[in-house]
Amino acid sequence: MQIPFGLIIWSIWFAALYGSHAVACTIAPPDPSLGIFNWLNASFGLVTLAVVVVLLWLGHRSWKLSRPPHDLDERQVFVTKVASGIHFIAALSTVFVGLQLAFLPPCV
Amino acid sequence: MISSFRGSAPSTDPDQLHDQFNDVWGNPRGWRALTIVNHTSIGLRFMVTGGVFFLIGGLMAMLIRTQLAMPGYVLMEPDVYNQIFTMHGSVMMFLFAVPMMEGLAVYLIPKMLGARDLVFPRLSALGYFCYLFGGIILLSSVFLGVAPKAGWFMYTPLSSASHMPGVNSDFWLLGITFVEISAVSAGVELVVSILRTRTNGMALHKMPIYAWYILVMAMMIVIGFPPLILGSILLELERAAGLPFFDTAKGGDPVLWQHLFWLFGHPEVYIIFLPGAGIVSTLLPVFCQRPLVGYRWVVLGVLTTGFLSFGLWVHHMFTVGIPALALGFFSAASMLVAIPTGVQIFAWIATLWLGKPVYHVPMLWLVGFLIVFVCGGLTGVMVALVPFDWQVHDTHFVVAHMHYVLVGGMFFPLMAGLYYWLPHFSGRMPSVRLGRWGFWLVFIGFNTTFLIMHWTGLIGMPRRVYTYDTGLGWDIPNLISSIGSFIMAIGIGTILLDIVLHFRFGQPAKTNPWNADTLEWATSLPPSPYNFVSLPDITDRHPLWKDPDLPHSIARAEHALTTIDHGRRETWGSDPLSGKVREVIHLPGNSWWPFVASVFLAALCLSLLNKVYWGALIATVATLIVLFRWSWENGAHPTAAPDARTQPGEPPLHSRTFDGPGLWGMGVTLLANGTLYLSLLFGWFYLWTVSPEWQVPEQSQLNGWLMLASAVLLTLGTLWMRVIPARLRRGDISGLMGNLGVVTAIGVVQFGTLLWVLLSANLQVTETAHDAVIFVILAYSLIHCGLATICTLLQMLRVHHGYVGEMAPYEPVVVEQLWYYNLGVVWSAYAAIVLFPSAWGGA
Repeated sequence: MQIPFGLIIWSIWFAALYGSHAVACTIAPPDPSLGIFNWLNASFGLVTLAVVVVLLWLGHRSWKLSRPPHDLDERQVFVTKVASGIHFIAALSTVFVGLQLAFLPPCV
Repeated sequence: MISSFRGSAPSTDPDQLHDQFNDVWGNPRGWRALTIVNHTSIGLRFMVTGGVFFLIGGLMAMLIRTQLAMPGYVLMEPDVYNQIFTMHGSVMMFLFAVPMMEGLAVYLIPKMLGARDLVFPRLSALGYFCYLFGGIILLSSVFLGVAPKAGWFMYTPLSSASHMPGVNSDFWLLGITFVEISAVSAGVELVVSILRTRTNGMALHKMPIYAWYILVMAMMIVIGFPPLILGSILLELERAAGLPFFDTAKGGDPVLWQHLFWLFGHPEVYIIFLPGAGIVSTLLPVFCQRPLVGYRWVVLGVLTTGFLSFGLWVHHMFTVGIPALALGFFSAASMLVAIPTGVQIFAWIATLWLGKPVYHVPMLWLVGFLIVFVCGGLTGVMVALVPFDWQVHDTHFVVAHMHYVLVGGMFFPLMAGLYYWLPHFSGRMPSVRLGRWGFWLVFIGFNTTFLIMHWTGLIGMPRRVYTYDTGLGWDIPNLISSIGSFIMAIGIGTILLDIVLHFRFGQPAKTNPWNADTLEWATSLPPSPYNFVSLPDITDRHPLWKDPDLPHSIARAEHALTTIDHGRRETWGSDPLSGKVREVIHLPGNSWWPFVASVFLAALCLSLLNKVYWGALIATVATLIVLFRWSWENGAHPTAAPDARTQPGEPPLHSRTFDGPGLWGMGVTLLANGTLYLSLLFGWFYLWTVSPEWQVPEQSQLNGWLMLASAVLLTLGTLWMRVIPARLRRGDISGLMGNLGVVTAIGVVQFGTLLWVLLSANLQVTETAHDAVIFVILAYSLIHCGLATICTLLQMLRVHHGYVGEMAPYEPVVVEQLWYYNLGVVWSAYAAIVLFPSAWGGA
């Protein structure tokens, strides 16, 4: 679980973003004239930021684990480094997909 | 944990030992060949059958290209043309690409991991027969003139009964679902085998790179196929019984089908590509005679590709009318997936750069792959851009892109792999001259056909038109494409000729003929049914480069697990991370059960197709009886492993522990099942949110209190079930049968309560999609609760027969997982259909 954990978080974030966008647009769509400056983009942005911070922290933690002074064997170093890489990739993916919030208004 | 088993076996003459192994593992001939479950035979059957389906699908492609060669040319009437292009796509995707790659993996994975077989050999056999029968049923529709004709992705409402009243779509829905049983079972099998049967010392970082690719591919099958299985079930229910899931007028939505299809469909592209890329990552180092550059980066790339590919499905639906922000998410994810693929491509180029490439025939195909696939990838990034996609959607540009990705990403590596592993199948080497001719004809033919097709699409030719008028600028490009396709067909013919001739004229292959590094070349050529008479310890990622004598020392029985006089088929069960051996997995032998079960499943499929519902009911009951009878031959059963003794120093048999492959198999199967259920819940919430005519009854007939009672009963049963393995772990078997009896009784009452909920709800399943979805959710829950109850009852009987108990405590742990799963299902169903509507403001 440690290896794919970062991308599992990314998947949940991605599905939640897409699903809640549809739900929010049905219940309380923001005024289109507000453009990107509306409660929905702001909420999504905050959640995205929080997910990125968590992923970066987890990635950093795995990376630190793989380095001295932790005395890990070859297999443990492999697992921690791959896990760290996956967390950083997931963070990058979250930023890249989340950037759409800065350019596109919701529900239109 | 035991670190090494070298030399633990009794000293025996190797020739005599091989004879004894053949007695236990050998394949019968004649009619009894239908009972074979060995992965080598099953893998080969998958590949040969896939090859035949490929030729049929290719023939359909030739018919399409002949028809389109000239404007106004009518080789086929529109209706026949529709059937042919639908079947070409369906055959190539469902009957060739996925099964072929799975077949190759089924064949190779145990050999690469230093194992004797896959963990569930009988499941492999069932998967093969389901594939064979499903494929035959689907293809029979062509010869009956009633083949599916709504395109390989079967969009509703075109494929619905109102627009396509015949059995055409039913053939697709039932045939493909039947074939998918095969895909998912192979997926489960491969995941568990890779994680749990590696030879001693093969830790994750020493695993052959191909196994990483197949692990990700198999997990993707497990998660990616169930949405389509669900979609097919719903559409067939709509067509056969009138449940209006996709009928807008009754609260359904045709776009739901698109979501369910592409939730499967886009990962499918990577399910096909990743094993191809795995072949590339395996072969390139061999032909460059150096390790793959950036093993860890490639693993990262493969894992990332696997995950990101599930976030791309809506890019097939850019023109449907989805809000721009949502399109933006999917467009970004679609571009993002090019990066991990790019990482792999750079790793391959670096390997070529740093090695000393030898251009044997497999290498030609690898270089061809790099060129063709990179082109396909680049046009993939183009269509990931929403405005560009709007311009080329449903044109020949997309057809060209798809073929560059799929033929480049799957067919070219497959051909490389076929030539590379040919000595494995025949014991002989391929011909260089014919092989080169075959490659160049296919490469030139392919690019002639599809490169210009990008242009044909850009100037506006839509896909799937059966003919076109002259003067639109499409005449010359189409003619060139058609000529190219015939050149490609000649190339395929040349390859076939080469393969046939090599069985007679090929040079006999020496041991490890390509000087490869992986363990599949440590078997005899062709391999024996047990692969290795002794199982070696692994200390390096490239075992045959480290110890070139390994094939001989294995054959001399100088390694471990060489005892066979107990008559059991055995392989190591190892730790998923470290690869250290922790139990001996005993595998089931040849059996009629898989064949018989698949025959009944075929009968079920045919009965549904012909709307003979009493026949379907009989076939279902017969299938269940066969499957339960099959499951009976397990653990301490006299035909499985009644004698649990192992050699001194060896670990125990898996059935005498709490952690065998069945536990993992159940877990992975429930993951697939859970994906199907989550897709169903997605459909429910999707329709609530998006369906334009969603209708909620004013007063719900659903008895919420009764459903709550059912959920509480299930919770009680699960908690009671939880006690049973806990006590077994403590070695306490007192009251084992009684406890299982209590859980069974609770299960019966809970099932009855849930059935009462369903029967008393007075659902108008043909009038509203709302009631139809509730019906499916309740039916799904009922089936699973019934299944858990029967399994618990069988456990009770097995305790009575002495097959489960203190010495064989493993099976209740497996069944326990099903109870946990059901708990999640019933409570989430309660939340979705009882609590959510009242909170939302409906009935």
